[in-house]
Amino acid sequence: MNIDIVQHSPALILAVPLLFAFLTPLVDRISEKGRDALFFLGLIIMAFFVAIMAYEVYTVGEWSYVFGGGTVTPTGADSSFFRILFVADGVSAMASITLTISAIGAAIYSYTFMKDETGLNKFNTLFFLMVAGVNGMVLTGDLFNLFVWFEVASVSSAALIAFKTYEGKAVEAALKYMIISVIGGLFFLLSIGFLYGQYGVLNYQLLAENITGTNLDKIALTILVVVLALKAGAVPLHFIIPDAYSMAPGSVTAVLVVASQAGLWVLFRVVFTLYGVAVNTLTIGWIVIVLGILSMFIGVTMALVQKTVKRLMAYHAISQTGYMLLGVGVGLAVLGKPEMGLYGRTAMEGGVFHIINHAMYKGLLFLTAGAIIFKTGIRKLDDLGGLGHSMKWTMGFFIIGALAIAGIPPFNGFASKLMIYKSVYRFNPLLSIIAMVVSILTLASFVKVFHSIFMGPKDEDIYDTGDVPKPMLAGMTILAAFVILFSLFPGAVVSNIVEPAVEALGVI
Amino acid sequence: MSALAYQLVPVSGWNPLVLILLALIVGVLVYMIYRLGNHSYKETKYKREPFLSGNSPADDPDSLHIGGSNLYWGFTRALKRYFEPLVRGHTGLLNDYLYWFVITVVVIMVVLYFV
Repeated sequence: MNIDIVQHSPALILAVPLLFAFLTPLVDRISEKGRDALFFLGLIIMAFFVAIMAYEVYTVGEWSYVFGGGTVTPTGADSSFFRILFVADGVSAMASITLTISAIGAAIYSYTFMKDETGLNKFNTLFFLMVAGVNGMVLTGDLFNLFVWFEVASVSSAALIAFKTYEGKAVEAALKYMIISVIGGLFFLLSIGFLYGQYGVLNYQLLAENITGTNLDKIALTILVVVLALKAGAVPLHFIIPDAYSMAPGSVTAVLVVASQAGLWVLFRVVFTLYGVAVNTLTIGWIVIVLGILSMFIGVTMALVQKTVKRLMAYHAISQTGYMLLGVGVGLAVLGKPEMGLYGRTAMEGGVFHIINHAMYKGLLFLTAGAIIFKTGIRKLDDLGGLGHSMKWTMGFFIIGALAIAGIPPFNGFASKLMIYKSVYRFNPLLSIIAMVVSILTLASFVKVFHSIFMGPKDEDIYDTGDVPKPMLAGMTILAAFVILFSLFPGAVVSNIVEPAVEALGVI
Repeated sequence: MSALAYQLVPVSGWNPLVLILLALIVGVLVYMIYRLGNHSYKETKYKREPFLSGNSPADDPDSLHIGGSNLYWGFTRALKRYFEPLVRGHTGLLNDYLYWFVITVVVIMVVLYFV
């Protein structure tokens, strides 16, 4: 039997974590070492298939994968019309690459970070399910399956946030996350119903051909935009993000950042691929821009007044999401107009480039925050200080992440922000100035964090000497290496990964 | 264009390798100037005081560290009228999260319908 692995790679990217999620509890009954080995093996095999799919997308082109074979036809006569469909394109390739890097870094970090916890078979299973859910969200080619993977990602994320059940606030945060996600999911289902009721199809491509911009289409679009902005953590729908990010274990938070970004990817697919010019793109573009500006400014100013390290970083995650929305919103506002060629495409590329940059440096920062809490058991900035004497590697990783998020050259955050500043300035100078002010405030906030945690005299009573264990450092090294790599070669990332993603959204 | 040159194409006119090269050159120059002046430098306590506004270094090392909430105290105090309602709005109550969800749906729906 000759199986075309390349052709089946989109399905295998999902099948592998699902299979390993099922195997983990079984192997755990035999051997804990086997369980841990399985954790890494599953992610490495998944990474292999992600690499195959991405290589094929970047060298040959995109393709649709219909489960059970066949093709999707607009007439509905073919039975494959109702089949599950995945899309291997620039968007799914870039999103899967981002997730895989973060997940592997977080998994290696978890090896010692979580070793004193009980129920690690459940942790590993939930981790695999979250990875599968997020990959499913970006790979799927129809709205109903999107809803299913949205739920898989939400339920597993909520369970992982609550993993340290002995910390009461973690359970509270998870409960809020779950309720908000379920309500969001039900609204999402309602909007799918509106579209299916009108057109009788769920497939992105077929819906895109049919949507004409009726009032019901606009209601469905509103709900989709709000639910996906909620998933991404855009202001004023951001409230759950600080709760969830601050209470989840450090390694989980690094992957939660990518899970939130899946909401952004789907939002971009909805507004570009699904609706496109069928609705007033200038209005929708401005809605996305306003969400972006609110997220940037309120996120960073709320971060300035935070007193705990992870909550502060969570508000910065909201703020950075604003940059992505701003860049892509400007691209949307000029979709189909001559301005797209002048600056709209660069704005979109900047926004999309910022997604992968953010996943790397924000993931790294959350891992450093986890390392600090792991070593000291302290979350409050006022109670920390002098860690630079003993946690030199962690401090180094923190500096890399902090400089990147603040957009200091030559780090990758600067490259994507520069693309956004320059292109958005041509659309509306005020928006670009706000983005620059937010960047300055971000730097100010991270100076505060750095000073609070790492500077000051060493207190021998509180801190023992030495840094965190090597597996945790290795996890941070992976993300830091990608931050540096993207910083040194932004042109390569934009031309090889970002541009195919922007083209896959239907922007030529 | 060679494969390597292709990877080095600047983004929005930005090429980090040029900046790094420049930083290295400046770094070498700075080090050379430092070396020129450092051998004649003699440590006295008066040479440190200008950096502490003329004050003597504190005896208690713990007092040297300024806690997180003390940094930017003046900034947040000056913008109290902005920060107070903003912080108060983040109640942590699930009901409030849902109010904002519904408000956002209504606002966007109205904008999409009328604009």
